[in-house]
Amino acid sequence: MMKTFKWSIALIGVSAGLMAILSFDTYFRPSYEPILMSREDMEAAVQLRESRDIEKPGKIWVYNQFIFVIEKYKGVHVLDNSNPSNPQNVGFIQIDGCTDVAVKNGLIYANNAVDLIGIKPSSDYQSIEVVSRNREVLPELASPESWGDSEFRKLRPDNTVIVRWEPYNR
Amino acid sequence: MKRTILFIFILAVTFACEDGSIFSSSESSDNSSGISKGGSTATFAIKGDVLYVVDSEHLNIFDISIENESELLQKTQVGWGIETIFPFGDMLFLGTQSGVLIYDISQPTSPSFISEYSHIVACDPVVTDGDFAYLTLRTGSNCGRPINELQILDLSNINQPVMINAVPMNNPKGLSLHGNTLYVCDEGVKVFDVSDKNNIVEIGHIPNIPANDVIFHNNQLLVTADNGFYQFDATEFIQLSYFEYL
Repeated sequence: MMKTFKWSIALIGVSAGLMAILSFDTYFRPSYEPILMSREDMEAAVQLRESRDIEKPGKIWVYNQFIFVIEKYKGVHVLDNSNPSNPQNVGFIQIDGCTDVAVKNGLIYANNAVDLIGIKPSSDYQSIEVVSRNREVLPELASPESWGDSEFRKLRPDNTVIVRWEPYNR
Repeated sequence: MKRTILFIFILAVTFACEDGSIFSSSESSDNSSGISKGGSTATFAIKGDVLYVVDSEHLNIFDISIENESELLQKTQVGWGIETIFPFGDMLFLGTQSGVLIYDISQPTSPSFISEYSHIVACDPVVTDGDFAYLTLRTGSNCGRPINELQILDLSNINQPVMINAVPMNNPKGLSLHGNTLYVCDEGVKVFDVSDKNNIVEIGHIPNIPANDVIFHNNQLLVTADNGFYQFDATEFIQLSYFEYL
């Protein structure tokens, strides 16, 4: 009888502990998770792509008749604004982890996550070339929440880079 | 003391007038080829051969004089919650969550701190014409206290910027200044005549767009919003084009 009682108490204790852990996980789990890319892939992915719809416009930079519109964490839209009533979406430069851009003498500077890169487009924007890359000069992209990313940082495998944060789908 | 202040004021006004430039934008000195500029919420700025990049705590200075070889010259811890950078002439204005930091960049590769204007914790981009600075304070998820207003700073004494007016807003974000016209993203884009700093007058409103930042360019307003990228005529506020997010 006494034994059963002891076991019951133990069981209740364990259940309570489990529930506490589970609810802690539910309530305190970060709502965003980082998306990782290997450094090699991230660098190789900087390419001129077909123009695409502007989804989440971020910062913009005006350079002569061109407007560069950041697609947050994805890259830069290049718009030819020679006719402001009918701007042409001429291309999309994929730059993972990109948050801002600036242009000098036609040379495009942007952050490729933690790297600063310089991109030289051909005059007709039919091709681009990455002409400079400063690796790991900028801070790792932070979670949209102001907390909860340190655990992920500890777990991040070597030679990978956080290129964006996405809401947990679980 | 009063005389000194008056003298400085007259000096400032004289210089301001001599300069003849009442236009404001973060236009970079990219002599070789026309216009190159970012918006009020930019974190990148260019002056000459130098690229400035702010992250939450640092001012990063890159030498971009050589096309194939940019170099990080300096990474200086300048504070916390740094959100925006806005260059004007020999000055660099950093918008932080607690105020505005002003740097002298007459020597672009070695900025020196001039002064700081502190306000309560809020999100805030800043623009300037060198004589006055305009900043918006906004309640945001990561931005501390509930406050929504436009503040105007008098920069006559650059060592001690003074707030001379605060105007209530709803949820102000990016802004752009052209002469005495100020465009503020605040439940759309609001247009103010700021000739009289103590009594700014709303002269237009582009409603119904969730605008985040605005750039005045060639008498057009380039507007980024949650749902796409818009262009408007800057005097008639007529929509010219729209890239919609579908």
